[in-house]
Amino acid sequence: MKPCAFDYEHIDELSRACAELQGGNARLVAGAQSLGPMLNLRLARPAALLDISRLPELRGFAESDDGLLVGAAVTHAEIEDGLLPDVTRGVLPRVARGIAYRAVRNRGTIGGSLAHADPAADWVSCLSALGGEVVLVGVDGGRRMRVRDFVVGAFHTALRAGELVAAVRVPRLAPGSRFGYFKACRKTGELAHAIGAVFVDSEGGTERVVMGATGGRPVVLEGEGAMAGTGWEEALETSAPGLDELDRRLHLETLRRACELSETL
Amino acid sequence: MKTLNLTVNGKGTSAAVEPRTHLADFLREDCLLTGTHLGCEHGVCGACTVLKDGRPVRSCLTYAVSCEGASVQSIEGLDDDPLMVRLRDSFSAEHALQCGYCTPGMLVTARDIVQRFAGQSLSDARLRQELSGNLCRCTGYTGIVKAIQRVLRQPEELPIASAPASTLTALQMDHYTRLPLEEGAMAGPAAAASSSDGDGRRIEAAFELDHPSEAVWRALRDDIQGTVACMPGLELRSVSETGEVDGVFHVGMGPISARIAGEGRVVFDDAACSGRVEGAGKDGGSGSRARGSVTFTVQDAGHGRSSMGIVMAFELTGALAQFSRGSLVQDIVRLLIEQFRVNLDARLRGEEAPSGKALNPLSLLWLSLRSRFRSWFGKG
Amino acid sequence: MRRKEDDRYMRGRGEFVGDIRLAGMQEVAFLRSPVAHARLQAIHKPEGGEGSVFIAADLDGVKAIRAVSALPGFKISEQPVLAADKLRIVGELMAACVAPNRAAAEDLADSIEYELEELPAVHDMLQALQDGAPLVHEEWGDNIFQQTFVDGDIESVRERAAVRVEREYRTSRQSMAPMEGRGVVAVWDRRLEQLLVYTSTQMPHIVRTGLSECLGLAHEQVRVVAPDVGGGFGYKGILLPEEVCVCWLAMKLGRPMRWLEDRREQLSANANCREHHYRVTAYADERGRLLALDADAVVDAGAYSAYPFSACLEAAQVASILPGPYDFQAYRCRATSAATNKPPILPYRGVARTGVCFAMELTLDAIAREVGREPSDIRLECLVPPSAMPFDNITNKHFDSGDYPECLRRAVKAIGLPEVRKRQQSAEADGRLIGVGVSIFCEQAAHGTSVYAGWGIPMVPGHEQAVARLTPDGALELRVGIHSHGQGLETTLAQVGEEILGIDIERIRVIHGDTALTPYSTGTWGSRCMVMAGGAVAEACKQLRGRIAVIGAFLLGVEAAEVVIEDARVVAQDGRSVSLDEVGRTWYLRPQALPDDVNPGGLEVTVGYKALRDSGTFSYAAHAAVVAVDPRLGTVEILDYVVVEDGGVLVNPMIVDGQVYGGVAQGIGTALYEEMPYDHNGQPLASTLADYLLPGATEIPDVQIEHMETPSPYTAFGQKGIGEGGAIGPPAAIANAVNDALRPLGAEVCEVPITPRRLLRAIEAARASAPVDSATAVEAVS
Repeated sequence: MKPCAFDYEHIDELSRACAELQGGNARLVAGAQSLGPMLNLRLARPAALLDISRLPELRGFAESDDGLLVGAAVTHAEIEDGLLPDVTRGVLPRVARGIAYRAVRNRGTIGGSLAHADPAADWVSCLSALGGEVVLVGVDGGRRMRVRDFVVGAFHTALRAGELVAAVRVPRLAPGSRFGYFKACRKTGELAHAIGAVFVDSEGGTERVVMGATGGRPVVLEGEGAMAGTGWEEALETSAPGLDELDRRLHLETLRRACELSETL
Repeated sequence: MKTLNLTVNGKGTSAAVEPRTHLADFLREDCLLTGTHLGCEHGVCGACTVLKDGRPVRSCLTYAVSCEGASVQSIEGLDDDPLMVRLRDSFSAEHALQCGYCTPGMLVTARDIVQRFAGQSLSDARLRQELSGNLCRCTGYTGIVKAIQRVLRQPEELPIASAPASTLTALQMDHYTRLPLEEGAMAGPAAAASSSDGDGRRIEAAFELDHPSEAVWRALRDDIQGTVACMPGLELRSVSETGEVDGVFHVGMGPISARIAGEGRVVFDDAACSGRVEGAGKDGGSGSRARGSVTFTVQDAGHGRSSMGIVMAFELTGALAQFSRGSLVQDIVRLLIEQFRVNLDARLRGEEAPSGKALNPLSLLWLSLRSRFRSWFGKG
Repeated sequence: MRRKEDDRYMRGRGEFVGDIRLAGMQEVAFLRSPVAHARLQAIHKPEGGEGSVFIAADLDGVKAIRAVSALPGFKISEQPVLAADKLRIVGELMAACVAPNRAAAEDLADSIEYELEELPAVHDMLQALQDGAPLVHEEWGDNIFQQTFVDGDIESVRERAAVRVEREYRTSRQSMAPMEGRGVVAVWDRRLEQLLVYTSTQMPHIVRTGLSECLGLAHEQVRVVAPDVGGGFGYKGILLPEEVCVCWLAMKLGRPMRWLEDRREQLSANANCREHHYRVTAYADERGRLLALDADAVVDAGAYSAYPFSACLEAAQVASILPGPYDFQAYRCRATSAATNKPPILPYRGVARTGVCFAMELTLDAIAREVGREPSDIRLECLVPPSAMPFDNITNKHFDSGDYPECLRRAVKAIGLPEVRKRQQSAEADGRLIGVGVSIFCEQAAHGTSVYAGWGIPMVPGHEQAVARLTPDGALELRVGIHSHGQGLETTLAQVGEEILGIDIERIRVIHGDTALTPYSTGTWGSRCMVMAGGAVAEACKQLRGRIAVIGAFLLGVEAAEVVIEDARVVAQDGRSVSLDEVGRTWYLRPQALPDDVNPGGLEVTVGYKALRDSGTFSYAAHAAVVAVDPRLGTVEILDYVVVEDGGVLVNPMIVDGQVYGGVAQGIGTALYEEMPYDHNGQPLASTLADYLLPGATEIPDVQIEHMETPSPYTAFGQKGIGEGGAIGPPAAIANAVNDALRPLGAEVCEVPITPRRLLRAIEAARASAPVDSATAVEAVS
């Protein structure tokens, strides 16, 4: 299948992207690795694509004492290849390597993935666990949100009209913190059926577990003992009530694996 | 049509292309370079893999217009590439191809693997992971894995081109860190349970409203248009005396949006304080069809409060139904019900009636929270 | 021996249908049914679409596709080229849209308005057979294409059988999913008054016959060319409505037309395969020796009988081959071809064998568990022994040669059964469960006239022919009516020529896939090419050798009986020789130098071939697998996989291994990944490769292959058909290994693919019904 006709524009200024997004049926696109299939299958029929993949302000990074800002149009492969300062002690490259396939990672971007908000996307779960944030820029200015709050449901985010994901903020992880990540996939590269992510920074007093790919927003538990497992079932029941018994057990088991396999960074 | 300038296999090329033309079709139909094959056109099979600025990409998910100024290499452009010469020799020696359809994409990927892992000892398991984005239906991959290992393990020095340079730069983004951090609006109290059996999908939700049941029932009963307006995306074009309705339901799931136009019926049971809307319609764009019903009941919950139960059942046929991830639709319905609650609550409090035309249901959720945003932005 | 065909593919110079460009070519997209079952009440062409949108009413003179079988009781279905009144599957063609490119053609299809009255769908083969089920074809009165019965005296065995095992099995509907979809380019040649059709098919001559019937053209008015074809596996053994329609459009509009099937069409609208259901009762003695088998099998044949294999071939085969490689006393089977609102099924690599092997081999393992013996041991008691070969089995299949027990013993040895049993004694550190499983089967291949005449389908294979021609410069051209699309026949048939004529393989060209250039053939299917086309090429080369010898001997001044042909030369007893180049040049360019009594047929022969018996070769194999089952996640990892295969005399071991590796990978897909599910409305739920999981490199293990080489007594050089076997054994071997691993839990899976959900459900079911002690075992791992 070939897509319906659409207009296409290279955007060279952030503010113009925001302005153009305000009206009409236009969609932002960077790598088009998630949108592309929907276009080709004619499931998505936007009037125009606004290509922000080359916007200089989205194609870089800024390191600070407490973390790293990653431009939204940085690709998964660039993260995998270590082209950014590694503030996560290897976590980001490792998770990046597990996203789809290399040729997809060469085009797909971290900001695009978050804005697309597929519940099974790796960055949604991983960054929810790490306490990552998105920087949203719109016509009226900007704001930050935690990734776990930003994704409100399947393919739904807190983005408002005229607003885009400009950057992703990743906290610097302390030595001695722990991270675990486990995906239940039937085959390599496919979208996960369940994701478990766990992050513990004992010194900073953070303990966070995430059940991702539940079909909706990620299920996050935070605070001391989050890893212990009490409360997981209840959280899943409340936040992802649509799951059947087998799926519920798969999510619990996947998170248990993430904890079991977690490593000190 | 857009004018496109790019380099294809080392030659400067200029062409007028439709924005919807993907790179694979551009190469095949415009440049007559048919070595790039299409196997799925949704980014899974890898048959169409080519190099863009030295990196393998899916040419079916890369629109030609996005390659302005880029350098693209297809299998034809790698004919004399010294590394490809070795790979070809090795693929043939190890019987790494049968029908040959996946082969050009497989070779482009294989070349990239060798480029990135030259000089390292790559386990078969890791090599298989690196290969997992290229499907082959004939060989069982045995010969392909052997062929790539054979090249990687050749004692002679490999003719490796330098890796494409990083185009990332350090940026000044201090201003971002000064932006306000917004707390999320966490999930509302609507409890929803859903199930999918042989007869389509069914979602049940229950929530309480801070209004007496009688007022809620009256509001629902007496102003169908108003009630309908609380359901994001639902728009009634006509309502007859006997409850026949004609309407449109705009529903979105990320980039996918459907405009389901159809007819239905509204029935009220005053004694039981329950009602039912049922209908069927068709999405003109995709040809998909939907039918479904919403049953709702209002009960007294004491202390001037009421509880409302909603059961939505629906079935989809056509393109929108033909995926294994149908359960994702349930989350959309969950969000719709949640916003219905927020909107109904607002209406019962006499606040501005929400617009029924919103394509993105979430915009309504945020509408109800707008006062908070205003204060954060200092514009309230 | 490297393949001759590799180079063009590796340089992107293969020519597949989609690569063909003809001046003025237009593209076709189809409006397809969004629903599985409906009445098409009206269809409205868009304004201005008269010359570019075509519906059933426009198709003057086009006949529906009919694939009738002569089997008793077979009910006829007519598959319309474009649907006129009733829609019976999602994806059925409603209108053809013509535009300069595919995108614009799809735009046109989007703009067509139509009205449907939806009908309840028959979404499942068992539902189809229930009373009161909706009817796919109302005039039938039921949903049964055909039923095959094999009767046997089960009753007499039943009484003395110590063991009785009952099981229900299901193999899911699959898609063969070659990497290249179907595609057609058609053009009407005004000069020749001939339709030239390029199509991605395994059987160009059969497509030609089908097209001539549907379009009302004489055979000589249709030329079909199958260029490079990107995999077949059975998917391309069919005449498609799309093919008929695109040809009609090319004739009607007077310009070249192209339709290329996209993946969505391939997965959701066109033919599927493999969907079987079995109810099996097996009887065995106290040692587990199989005595009798009583089976009721159903095959979901979809809505239409596909041309040429028909809707009955699969079920009829089930009935005749379910007994497998075993010798036992009583067998009874009813096999039903059920009609549903799903695409037609086609024989996929291994045809019905994958399903029957699954049903038989799981049943034998169930018996082994019942009597507490090693599954391979109870098989050894009833496998047909080599001393009985050739052997006519209980359904009169004629097993030609082989040592089945030895094959199984070798597989058991290679998989290291004692080591696995030992490993199972102690728990795995990661909590997974280890299991080992075997399967063994034999595979009738290259079966011919006598077998197919019985089924009476539109295509019955007879003699296979080949043309061998020495060129003026001493090279060899071989023309065959089969098609090679991965099997490497451009190389292996050349090897046959080289063997007989001593001509270097580089100077032998194999021409296939063009009805204008090659002898009529039913094409490539049923693992028949190396036996049939190989045999024909051998015979043709031998006859050609005789003619070359006469000319060569004359040039050398000796008698033809006194020369031999070696290394592309005719050699006299005294060592003098003349090259085949010289022989060729003499015949074509210097006929004055030929003897007066030379055969005027010259250096080109067409020779037909049939095996000494046409009941088929029986290659056979034992597969063995070791798996690790994760009882919490429901995942299965294949730790080790062995195939011991006997394909008779091997022409090119590298290519045979390639066929086995590829077949096993597809079998693993059947066992663990691939499934085309439908919902209760008959909607296909896997319309992309993100939904339909084809195994990738990480899903396929390293496979060890061992060969036995027992010649077939009936074929030209003892070769047997081998192309499909790899895909037959894996579901059974893997499921048996999984069930072996699950034994401590009392759980069993009887359905493929073994998805995590199916596996976890099986464990759940065992937990629910387990007696106390095994319930403890279930607790222990969960």
